[in-house]
Amino acid sequence: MSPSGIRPRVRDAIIQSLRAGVVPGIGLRHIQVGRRDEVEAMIRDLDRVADAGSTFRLIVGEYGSGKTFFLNLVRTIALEKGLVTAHVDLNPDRRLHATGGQARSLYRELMRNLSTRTRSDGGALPSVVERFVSSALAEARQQGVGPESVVRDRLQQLTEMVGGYDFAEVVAAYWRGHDLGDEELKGNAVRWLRAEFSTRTDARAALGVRTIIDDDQIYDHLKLFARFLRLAGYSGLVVCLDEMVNLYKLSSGRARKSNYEQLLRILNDSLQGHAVGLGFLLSGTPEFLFDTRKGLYSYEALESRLTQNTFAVDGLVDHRGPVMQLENLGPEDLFVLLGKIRHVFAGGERQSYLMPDDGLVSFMRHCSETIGDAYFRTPRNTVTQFVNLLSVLEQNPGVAWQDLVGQVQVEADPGPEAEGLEAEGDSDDADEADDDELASFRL
Amino acid sequence: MNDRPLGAGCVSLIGLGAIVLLSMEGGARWAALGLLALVGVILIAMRGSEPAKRDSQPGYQGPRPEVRGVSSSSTHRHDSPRTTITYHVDLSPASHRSSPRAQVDPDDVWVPPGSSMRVVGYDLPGGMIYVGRTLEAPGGWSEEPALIDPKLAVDRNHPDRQGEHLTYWPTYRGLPPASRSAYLEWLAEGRQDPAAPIGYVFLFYYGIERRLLVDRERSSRAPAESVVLLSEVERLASIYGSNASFARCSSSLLAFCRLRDGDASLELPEPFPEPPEYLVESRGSELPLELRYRLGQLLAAGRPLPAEWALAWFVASPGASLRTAARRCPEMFRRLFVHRYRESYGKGLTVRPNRTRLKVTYWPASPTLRGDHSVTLDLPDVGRLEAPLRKIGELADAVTDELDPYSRWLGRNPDQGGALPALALLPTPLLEEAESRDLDSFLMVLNKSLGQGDRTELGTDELLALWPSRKADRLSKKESASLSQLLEKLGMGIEPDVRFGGSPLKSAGRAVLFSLGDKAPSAASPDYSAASLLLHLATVVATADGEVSIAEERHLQEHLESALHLGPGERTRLDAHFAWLLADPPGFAGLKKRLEVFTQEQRHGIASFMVAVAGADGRIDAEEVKILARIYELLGLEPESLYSDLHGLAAGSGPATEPVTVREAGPSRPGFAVPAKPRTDPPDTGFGLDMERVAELRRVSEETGRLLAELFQEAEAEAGDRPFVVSGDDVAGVVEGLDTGHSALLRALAASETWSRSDFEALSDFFGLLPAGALETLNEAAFERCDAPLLEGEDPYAVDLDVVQEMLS
Repeated sequence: MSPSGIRPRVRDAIIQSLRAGVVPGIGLRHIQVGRRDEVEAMIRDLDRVADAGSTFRLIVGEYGSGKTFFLNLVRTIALEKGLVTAHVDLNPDRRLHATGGQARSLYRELMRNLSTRTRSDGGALPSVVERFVSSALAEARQQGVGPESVVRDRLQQLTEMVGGYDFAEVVAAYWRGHDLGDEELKGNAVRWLRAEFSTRTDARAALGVRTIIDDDQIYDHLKLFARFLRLAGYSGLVVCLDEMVNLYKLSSGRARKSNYEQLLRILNDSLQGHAVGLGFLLSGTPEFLFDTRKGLYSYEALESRLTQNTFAVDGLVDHRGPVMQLENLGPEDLFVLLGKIRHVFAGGERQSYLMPDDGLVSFMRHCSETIGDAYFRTPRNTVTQFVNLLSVLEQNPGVAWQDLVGQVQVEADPGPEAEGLEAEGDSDDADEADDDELASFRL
Repeated sequence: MNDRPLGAGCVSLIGLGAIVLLSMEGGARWAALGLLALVGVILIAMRGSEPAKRDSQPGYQGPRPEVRGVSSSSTHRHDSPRTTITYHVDLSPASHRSSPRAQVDPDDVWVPPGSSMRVVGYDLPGGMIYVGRTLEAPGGWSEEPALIDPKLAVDRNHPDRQGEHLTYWPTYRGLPPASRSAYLEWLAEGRQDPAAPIGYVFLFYYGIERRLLVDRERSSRAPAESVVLLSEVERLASIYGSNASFARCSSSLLAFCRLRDGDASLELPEPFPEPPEYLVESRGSELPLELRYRLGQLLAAGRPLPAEWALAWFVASPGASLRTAARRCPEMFRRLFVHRYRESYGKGLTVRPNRTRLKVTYWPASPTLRGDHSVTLDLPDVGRLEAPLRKIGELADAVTDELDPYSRWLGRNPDQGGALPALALLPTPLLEEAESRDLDSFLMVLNKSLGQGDRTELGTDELLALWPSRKADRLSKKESASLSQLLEKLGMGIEPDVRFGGSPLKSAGRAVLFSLGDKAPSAASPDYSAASLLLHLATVVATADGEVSIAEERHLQEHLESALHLGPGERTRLDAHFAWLLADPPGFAGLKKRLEVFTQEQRHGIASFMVAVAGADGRIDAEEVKILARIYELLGLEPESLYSDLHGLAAGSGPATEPVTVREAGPSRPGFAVPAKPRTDPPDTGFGLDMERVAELRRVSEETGRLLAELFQEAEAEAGDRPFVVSGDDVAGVVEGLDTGHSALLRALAASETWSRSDFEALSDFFGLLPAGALETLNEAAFERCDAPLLEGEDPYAVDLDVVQEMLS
C-alpha cells in the first residue's frame, strides 16, 4: 500500500467523524498537523512503556486546542507499536475514585473501549483473552499437557498481585467455557473482566470466584491487566483519560481530593517505576491543572511533581516533564489541516481535489469575516463546515467552489456546555461547604 | 415566459420578510441567505437569464381549479399560553438580488386537496399541487420547484420511470420532458406506485411543505388544509417510508406541524401512549421530534421513563448502534430489554429535567424553504442529555450480549430456533415465553421424573433419547454442557455436570436430577471442586467394606460442607453429587491421574482426611485398611505412614466415647434428607475428625480446587473429543510469524473472499483455535507483514486476498 493511499474505509470514517464534529478514531495520521516535538516526546514515552516501563503525561490545552485529537493520535501510534489502549471520557459517573460504583464504571468503560491494532475501535477484550488462551493452547498441545494447567502456569506470576488470583481463575474459566461450548461462562468471564459484576455473590455463583473488580481496586487491576497483556504477547497498556476537567468540577471537595490522591498514586508509581508496561495519558484544561482552589495545584503533593520546568519559557518548551502544554492552533495550522482534509476527501489522489489552495484561503477568509479568530482557535465548526462544503461539491459536480464558499454558514463554537451535568450519586454533596473551607485552609 | 405579473402578496411579503429578518439571529440569517443564494445560483444557471419585469396588475394566474370537499372551518389553536411560536420565513432583501419573478398569490395556483385537475392530458386526482405559469419560491429568487407549468414540454412517449434524470434537488421546471411525464404519470396514478423514484415523491412533497409552512401565513385557506395535508404526508410515509431520508423528513414534518398547530398539549396524556417503532437504520442526526416531545413531557412531570420509551430513545438517538443480535432477533431484543429494564429500574429511570427548552425545528426538504421553522415548548429538551442515554445504552448492550449466543446459533441454524440446544442459549425470561414442541416433551419427561420432589434419579437413556447428539450412545462435552444449561434455566440441576467437573452423559448410566434453589452457582468454586473430589475419594473408601454406612456418609458430607464453607446452592449440588456417586459408583478409574498433581503436603492432608473418614463409624476393619493402603499408594505415600496414621487415630483422637459436636444444632438445612433406611448402626456412634487437619485442608483446598477442573478435563480427553492437532509433518506449511494452527487457518481462509461469522468460528474450532483470538493473531501478523488487516468487518468477514498472497509468499 502506498503511503499516500487512503483506504476507503478509513476515508469514510474520517469524513463521517469530522462531519459530526468528533475526532476520528482511525486514520488520524492523515490529518495530523504540526506538533512534531510533542509527537516525538510521546513516541519516546510509548517506547518506554513497550519496554516494560511506564509513563504519565498530562496534556493541557484550552478548549478547542486539540487535546482529544492529540490523545487519539497518540493512541493510534501506541496501537502501531503493539500496545493495547483503553480510553474513556471522565464524567460525573466515571471517576478514578468513588464509593458508589463510579470508579467501577470508569473501569468498565475502559475495558469496553479496549483496542488493539486490529480492533482499533474498541471491544478487543475477548480477542486479547483469546489470544492469550490460544497461545497457551498451542503450548499445551506441544507439551502434551492440559491447556488449563498451561494457562495457570503462565498466570502464576500475576497471582501475587492484588486481585491476581481471581483474575487467573476467570481467565481459566474463559478457557473452560470455550472448551465446553458454554457461552454463558465465557460471557460471564468477560463481564467479570470488564467489572460488570456488582456483587460478590453474583460473581461467585457465575464463576466460583470470591471477589469482583470494585471501586477501590481499579488502578490495581489496570496494573494487573498491563502485565497480563504482556503475557498475551502485547507490549503493554496505554490508558487515555480525557475530560479530566470533570474531576475539577466535582462539587464535593472530599470527592475531588480522593480522586487527586488516586492520581498521585498513579504518578508516583510511574515515576518510581512500579508499573510495568503501563502508560497514562490524561487531558485537561488549564484550570484543571492550575486552579489552586480546585485544580491539581490545590493538592500540594501533585503540585510539586507537576510544576512546570521554570526554564521552559518564551517558546522554549521542555517535553520531559509530566505536563505537556498544547498551543492553540493558528491560521497556518488550519490551512494545512484543511489541505489534508481535502486530500483525504480525494482518497489521496491529487487529481481529485475538489478545490485549489485559493479555495481554502477564500473559505478561511469567509469564516474569519463571519466569526473572527474563533475559526482557527476552536476549529471544530470550521472543519465541519469545510467537510460539508466538500460534500456538496462532490455531489454536485457542476457547481463551482467560488459560488459556494461565500454561502457557508459557520457559527462560533459556544464551548463546553454548562448544562446537563448531573451530580446524581454524589452522596457527599452535603459536605461541600465544609470541604471547601478545608481546601482553602490547606493553601 | 413573458407574462410575469407581480403577485398580490408582494407588499405583505416584503413587510413580513423585513420583520422576520430583523428577528432572526445572525447565524441563522446567514445560513438562510447562504443556502438560498446557493440554490438561486444553481437554478438561475440552469435556466439562463430571464428578463426581469414587474407589473402592478395581476395577470395570468394559472388555472382556477374547481374546489371540492375542502373544509373551510379552521379549528387549529395557535398559541397555547406556555408555547412560543416563531415563524421565520426566508426572504431576501430586495437589494440583495432583484427578483426576476412576478408575485403570484399561491392560492391562485394551488389545487386544493380533493380537487382534480387535468394537466397536459393527464388527469391528476386529489389536488395538493401547484399548477400555473409562475410562482415565486418563498426565498424570492427562484421559482417554486413543485410548480407544474403546463406550458413546459412533456415527453409522453418516453417517460423516465426510473428517474434517471432526477437531480438531488429536483424542480419541475428543471426536469427534462421525459422525467416530467413520468412525474405526471405518478401523480395521475394516485401517487402510490411503490416503485417510483423517491425524487418524484420529494418533488410533490416540496409543495405540501410549502403549503404547510409558508402559505398559511398569507392565505386564509391554507391553515384549514393542514389536517388533510398531514394525512397525505402520513399516507406517503406508509408507502415510501423505506427511504430513510423521506421517512425522516415526513415524520419530522408531521411532528412539527402537530406541535405548532397546538394539537400537542404539554400535559401528560393518560394513559401515556406507546412509542412508535423506530429503526436504527433510519435515525437521523438528531432525535425525532415526537420522541423529544414525549420524553420531555415525562421529565417535566417527574415521571419515570417506561421501558418502551427508554428503548425508543436509545434506538433513535444519533449515536446508537445495534449489534447483530439485536437486529437478527428484534422482537426478542425488545422483550428482553423491557424485562431487564424493569428489573433494574422498576417503573423506570427518573431523569431530572434539564434547563434547555425544547426548540422544535423543522428543516424542510425543499431547497427553497431552507431556514428556521421553529417552535419553543416549555419542556426540557432531552436531546441534550447524555447520562440517562448512557445508562440505557449500557443496558441495551448487556441485553445484546445476553442474546448473542442464541443469535449466533440462529445464524448457523436459521430454522432451528426451537431446538433444545438453541433454547439452552436463550436468556431465562425469554425461555419462559418460548413456544417449542421439543421443549414441551422435554419438560414432560422431567416433570414425570421429578414429580413434586426435590431430587430424583433417572437412567441417562431417557435424557439421551431427547437430546440431539452426534453419537447415539453418549453426549459430547459440549452437548452435555448445553443440556446442563437448559436444565439450569428451567430451575433444575443434573449430576454429573460437565461444568462442575463431571463427565458427559453416557448411555446406560444413571443421573441425578434435582431442583436448584435461588442463586444456584453455574460454575464450580475451588471449595466446591475440593469437596467433590474428597467426596469421591471418601465414597470409594466408605463403600469398600461392602456396605455404605449412612451415618458415615452424612457426617462426612456435613463436615465437608461446613469445613469448606459451601454456600447453600453448592450444598444442594454436593448432595446431588453424592447421590449420584452412590447410584453410579465411579470407582478408582482415573483417580491416580487426578491425584498426581497434588503437592506432598496436600497429599498428606488428603490421606489423613481419608483415615478419619474410615474411622468415622468407630471402627476400621481389614477391608478398609486394604482400601486405604490402595489410596496411600495412589497418593504416592509410604504404606508405613498409613499404619502410623491409623495408630494416631486410634490412640489420639480415636472414636469418641461421647457424641462429638460436628455441627452446632440449628434449623435443619433445607433440601433433601437421605432416605431413612433401617440402620444397622445407631447414628450416635460419633467419630473423631482432626479439626485442625480439616482447617489445614481448607487452607490448601483453594489451590487444590484449581487443579481439579484440569483433572476432569484430562479424563474427558480420553472420551475422544480431541481437538485438531497439527502433526509435526506439517511444519513445512508454517507461515512466517504464525504457528501451525494459525497457518493452517490462513490457508483455509484463502478459499473464499468472505466468511460468515459462524463459518469462521467453525473453521477456527476445527483447527483448535479460539475465533476472536485467531482473528487477532492473523490480523496482527498481517499488519506486521503488509500494514493492512487480513480480515475486516464483523459478520461476514471480508478476506483481503492480496494480503493472503503476500503472507503466503
